[in-house]
Amino acid sequence: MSNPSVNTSSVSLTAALPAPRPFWLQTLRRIRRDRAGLVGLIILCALIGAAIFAGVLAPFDPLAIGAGMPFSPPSSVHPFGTDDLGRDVLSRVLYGARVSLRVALFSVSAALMVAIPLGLIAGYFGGAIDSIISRLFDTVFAFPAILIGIGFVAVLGPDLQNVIIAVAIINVPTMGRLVRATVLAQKDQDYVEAVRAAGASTPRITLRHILPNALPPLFVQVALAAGEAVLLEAAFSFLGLGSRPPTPSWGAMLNEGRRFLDRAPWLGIFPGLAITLMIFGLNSLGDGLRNAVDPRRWE
Amino acid sequence: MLAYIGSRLVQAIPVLLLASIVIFGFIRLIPGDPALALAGQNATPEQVAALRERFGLDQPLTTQYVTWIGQALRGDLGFSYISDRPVRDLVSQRIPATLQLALGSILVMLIVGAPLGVFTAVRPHSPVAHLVSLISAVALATPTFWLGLLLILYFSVSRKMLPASGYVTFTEDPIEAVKHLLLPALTLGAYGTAVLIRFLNASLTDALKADYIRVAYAKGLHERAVVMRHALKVALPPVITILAIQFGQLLGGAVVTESVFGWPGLGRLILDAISNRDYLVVQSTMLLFVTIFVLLNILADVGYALLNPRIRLGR
Repeated sequence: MSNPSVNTSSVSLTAALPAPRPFWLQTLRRIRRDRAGLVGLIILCALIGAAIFAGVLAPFDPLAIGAGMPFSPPSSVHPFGTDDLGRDVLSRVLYGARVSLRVALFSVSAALMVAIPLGLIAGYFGGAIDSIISRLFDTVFAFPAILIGIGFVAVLGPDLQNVIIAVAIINVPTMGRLVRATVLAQKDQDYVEAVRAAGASTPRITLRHILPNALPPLFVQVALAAGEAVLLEAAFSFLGLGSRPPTPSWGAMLNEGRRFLDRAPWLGIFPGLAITLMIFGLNSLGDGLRNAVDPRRWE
Repeated sequence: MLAYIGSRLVQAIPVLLLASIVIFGFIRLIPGDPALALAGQNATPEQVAALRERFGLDQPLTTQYVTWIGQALRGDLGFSYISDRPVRDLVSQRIPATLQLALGSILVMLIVGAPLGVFTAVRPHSPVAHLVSLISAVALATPTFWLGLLLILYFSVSRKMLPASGYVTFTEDPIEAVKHLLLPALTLGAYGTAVLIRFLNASLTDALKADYIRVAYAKGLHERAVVMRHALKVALPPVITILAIQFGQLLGGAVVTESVFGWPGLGRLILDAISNRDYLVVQSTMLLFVTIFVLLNILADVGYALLNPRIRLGR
């Protein structure tokens, strides 16, 4: 991966611009210009807003039994209808965004915290330690993602925290390999040699100088991994292995609602719509980020 | 080529060994003594001890592991603690259903995905191409289980056209088998179809830009011949890889799909075994899943190598 803050094709231009815009701002601006990226950003912001302001936006308490008549179809009072216990589905969907985003945030952060050091170590030191770490990644890759979750929950019990751990583990190898590949590509470059000759310590070389090169592809991966986290949390909860009732998790809501499809089809629709919307937003943001951080795609 | 296949298989051995240790260790972490749970509350200590001995649970962990792996290598997956039947029987009973589901969804992928992938690459600016790319973006974001519920809602609950659950083998009644298979196969195949469209589109778009394509057009070949005979030959290898990887992913997706449609396959076996705390079944089925998954991934690489002359002939 080339360093996006340096325009390699015209050296004189970079020399004329002593202080380029911060990478963050540049990326944000490029995402805004990218249609998929913009759509993703808007959807994600809307859903984050729904999660943060669920307390204000939700017309009812998401756990309140008998907020309306059981199985009330969508109406002006209950725009998404009510479930078998008379709970307001709209309120539950809004609060459900909190569950999804919490899983996405924590599992992806945890995965990064494990994957970055492992990838740096494997790539920088190579040899036996690289083989060990790489085989570990391969082993995690050998399991279909959903099986890792199922196994975890079988051992530790169905709980949101265990889902977070499982999703984090699933994401470690992809991110770790990405960091490792970047380190391999960078560690023999002249600038690394120069920093090393200047007496920089290994942590400083890897963290300060090599790691930034891995950040652009990692951003993309983070968006995609967050989408996968949302999907897996919903899937585990749907299988009865994730959040426990009465937590308003989208997957759990679909699981409870599927028994009443003939009587109350809305129970099978709105939570799924929310999951799809969030994953669609994160995927689009990932696509937009990919275009934004890849110099070859700049027009 | 044989050397390549051999080396890939050899590389898979440590991964599978490590995976088996992880699975074994993991299952052993489950709190509670399976023998105690199995014997029931009123069992005497002697009865519990007898059960423990019968299932080899009194042996040290390393012995238990070696026994398990040794037997598994010979095709013996042990006995279910709960139903007291060989795990191999339980598994082989479920394989046809899962295989039927997997092949059905692969068919969906090929029948729907392949033509659309080619079309969108050949006519990238047509309205259909834009529509297809939007729909596949939505399909990539739609969770399998939700799609299943939606299909049930429309085709079973509201239209009453297709059954919402159940499994019929083709030998029993081919028509009923197709009817029962249609919704689960669509559900499981949708994601892979979108992936196939995207990859085939990208791969074929690249191939169509090459100089020899212009030459082919220049010698007066029809578009059909250019695309089918020249471009696809180059565009297919990466697609084959994706197909094999998708086939592996189907295993995971099957767990969810089988749960939605009450499909009696391997996925349900593993879910039921977990809720019944039938750990040897979980352990052995997981090992089976992982082995198939790893082998499919190798198959993907080998298929890619076979179709790609640079890799086939290089070294």
